[in-house]
Amino acid sequence: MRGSVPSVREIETLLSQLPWRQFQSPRVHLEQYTTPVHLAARIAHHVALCIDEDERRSVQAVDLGTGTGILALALCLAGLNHVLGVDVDSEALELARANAAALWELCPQSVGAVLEFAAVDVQPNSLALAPKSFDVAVLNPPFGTRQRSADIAFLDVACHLSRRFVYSLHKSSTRSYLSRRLERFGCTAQVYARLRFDLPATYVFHRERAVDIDVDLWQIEVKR
Amino acid sequence: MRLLTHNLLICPVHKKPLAIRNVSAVDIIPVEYQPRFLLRMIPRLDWSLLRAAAVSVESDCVDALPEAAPSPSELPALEKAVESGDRLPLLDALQRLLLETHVVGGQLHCEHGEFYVIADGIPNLLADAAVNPSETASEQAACTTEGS
Ligand SMILES: [Zn+2]
Repeated sequence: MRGSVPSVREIETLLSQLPWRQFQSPRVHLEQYTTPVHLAARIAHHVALCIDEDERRSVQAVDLGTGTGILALALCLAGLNHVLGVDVDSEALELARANAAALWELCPQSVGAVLEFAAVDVQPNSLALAPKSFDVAVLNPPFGTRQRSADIAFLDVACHLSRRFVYSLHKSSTRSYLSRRLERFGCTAQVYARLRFDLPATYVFHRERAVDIDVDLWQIEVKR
Repeated sequence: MRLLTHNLLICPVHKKPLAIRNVSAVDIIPVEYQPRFLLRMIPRLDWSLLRAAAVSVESDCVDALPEAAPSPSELPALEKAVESGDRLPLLDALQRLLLETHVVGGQLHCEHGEFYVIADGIPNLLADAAVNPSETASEQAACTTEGS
């Protein structure tokens, strides 16, 4: 696992063997849905490639709204060695930890990763993390389909915590709004990829089938 | 919860650092030596918080921690020593404390009186999970009065 970044496929294959790839009983008001394995693998792979090889193992990353830990674990597999996963749902964190234990069995090279979990509310007023403590913040925020601007609150927190990069997923329909907002903050931001997110049916009002929504993976360079 | 994580946490309500108290269990789990990460973290650490944490978990590394963090002007010399493969007592202590010392059970106390629980190695920093000892005490008193 040292040196070059493993392929998206390699990361995805390992993640897909984890026991808790979905929430057992998602809490709808939190818009809990697990990041699909292929998306997590792709995001983690991209994050790892953006960091110099000799620095990759010494950056501190945070996964905001980690849920069952899929994205945090994907980052470890991609070669980031210090990851903190936080979520408001402490039961989800127990599943995240079980996932981590399962992953270490599947992939003994990752055992050395310094992966931590803490119950923290990712909201500006109740955040329990010191500002600028991290080099990289990744987030798969609630898309705000239930609670308007929920994703924007997450993004503000991420920019407050990270010294360098923020990687975040947002509905493509909000692209121009986000772009203006980030520009106002003085951040350099770009859409790295447009992806399809298969949102489970639980979150779609009055519809029975799951739907795909278009999401953008943003890379934001935080103003120093 | 590693002491590294503790150093990044603050009270969700008052935004103050939290003191580790009433530690019920500590694990020491060795991991690969990571001097470059440790050097990188030195300027970001709340050093006095780390020293207090080391005392709270009764670590034998307390004496290897100087009163104050190495200053930015001292870091290049440390980096040089690391690049040439020297083992530095300071970095050994930071390795043990930040990366290898886990608080499995205990409490995180805010200077405003409330505390947060660390259970099974996971700290719960949610504002509504804060325990307020004075309220708990008065509730208990109320129960006692009712009972008698
Ligand atoms: Zn407090």
